[in-house]
Order: sequence, then structure tokens, then C-alpha cells
Amino acid sequence: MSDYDEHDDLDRALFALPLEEPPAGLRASILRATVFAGPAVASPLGRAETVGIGIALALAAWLAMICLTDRAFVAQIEGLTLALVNALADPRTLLWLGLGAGIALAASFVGTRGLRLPFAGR
Amino acid sequence: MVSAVADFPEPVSATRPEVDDAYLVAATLAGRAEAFGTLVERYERAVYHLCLRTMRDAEEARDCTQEAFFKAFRSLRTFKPDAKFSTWIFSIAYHACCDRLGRRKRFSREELPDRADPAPGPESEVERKDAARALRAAIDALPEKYRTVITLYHLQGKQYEEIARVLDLPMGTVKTHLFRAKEQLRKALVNE
Repeated sequence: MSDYDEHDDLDRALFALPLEEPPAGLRASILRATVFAGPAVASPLGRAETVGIGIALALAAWLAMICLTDRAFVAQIEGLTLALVNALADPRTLLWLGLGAGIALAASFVGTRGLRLPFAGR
Repeated sequence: MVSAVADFPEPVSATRPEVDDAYLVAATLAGRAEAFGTLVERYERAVYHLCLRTMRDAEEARDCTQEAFFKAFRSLRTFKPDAKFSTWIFSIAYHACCDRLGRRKRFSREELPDRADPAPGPESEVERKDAARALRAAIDALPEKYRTVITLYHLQGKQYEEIARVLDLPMGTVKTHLFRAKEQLRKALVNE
């Protein structure tokens, strides 16, 4: 008969069980990958931000390349910019923009806490 | 909020038990990387033990341990100061193990041996006399869910709530698993 016929004995045996010895060099490799790998933890940027900035920089570089090499593309951009400037110079556009901004401002004062959308659940 | 390295003027040695884990986490986040080294020193053995019991493979346990500490270091900002670091790192380690086991499809019943030692030889006959080895072998023979819960019970004491947090299971399930794990262990060891 073993000593393990009661759970209390089993508990004692479990808690007396020594922890496994980690292999030599494990701590060093953990520290190399973390503490000595640089201040990754102190970086203010998360992975998503880093990826976002990378994409923005790549797009900027791509645009710069096109602007330098493709005259037709530059002309298109100039046309679009001119159209935008003309639209913004139109008093009717400014009136609509002002109206939209005014409504947004008024809505921000009212708040949305008391509002309930028609299809929203409880 | 941690603002500067100057907020943590004291040395963060692992030999000083009064320096708690939350302090070490905060010091690491403040730029004192050696504080994380102290956390590694404190929990390396326990995390490796959990990984080894879960994976039953020394090489994979080593990789999981390293992965767990690496992930913990990278996501240290997400650690909640009111939580226990041990629970957090065990949870990361356990999920690292689960990922590997899942990837290798080793959750299947075939991988779970019926006996502690499927091929006993002359050396294992000697080992049987060693109670600790017998207990370890009996734990290794348990199904994965029981093996992990009994290992955490060993590592964290009778803190069922912490075990439930690590495994992301309801407390009742943890208690049931623990009861069944002990029953199986008891049977295995009585039959020794």
C-alpha cells in the first residue's frame, strides 16, 4: 500500500515535489531576447503605430517618385487641387460646411447620453 | 503613473523579497531593464516547470519559457498593477504551450499515455523506488487539462481563483479538474 491513499498525503507529496531545473543558458537567452535586446518596452510606439508610420512613409516615397517622374500625374494632381480650391472658394460650399460644423458643435453640447437610436437595443 | 527612472532609486535585486513584483514591473517600464531580469530570475524555474509539465518535452518547454518571457516583456504595459505577476506570466506561458500543442495537433487522445512509463526498462525499475519520480511520472501520464491544473496547484498553492485566471476557466471547472486529477494520481500511485 502506498502513502497516497489520502488526498492530504498527496497534497504533501505534491508540494514537496521540487521544481524542474531549467536548462543551463535559458536565463541568459531570455535576457538576451528581452533586457539586452534594447529598450523595446520603453518604446512609445506600439506595433500598429509602427506599421502605420511605415505605410505612410512608403506612400510618401511612392508619391514623391511619381511626382518626379510622371508629368501627367502631376498635371492631374494640379487639376484636382485647382478644382478643390475653386469649390472651397464658392460661398455655397462654405455655407454648407458652416452649417455642418454648426450642427456638429450643437450636437456636442447636447451630448448623446440621453439619445437612443430607433434600432438600438436596451 | 511611472514617469522616470529616478522614481526607482533602489537596487532591484532578486535576493530582496520585499521588492515586490509590481515594483519591478514599474521599474522596468520606467527604463530600468535589469528589474525585468530580477523577475526572470524569480519566475524562470516555475514557468519552465509549468511548460515542461504541459509539453512533456524539455526542448519545447525551453522554447515556451523563452517565448513567455519575451511576450511578457513586449506587453508589459498591458499588465494591470492590481494583478499578480505570477498569474500573468503563467497565463502567458500556458497559452504559449497551448499554441504549440494546437499547432502540432497534440491535444488528441493518442498522445496521452495510459501509463506513466510506456516502456519500462532496468533504469526505470530503479526510478520507481523514488517517490518524487513516481509522482512526476504519474502527473505526466495525466490528460493535459488535469496535468496543467495539478501543476498550477503545485505552483500557486490552493489559490483556485488564480488557477482559474491562468487557465481562463470557471472556478467550478478548476475544482472539478483538480478533484479528478487527484483521484487519477491517487489511483496511479496506489497501484505502484
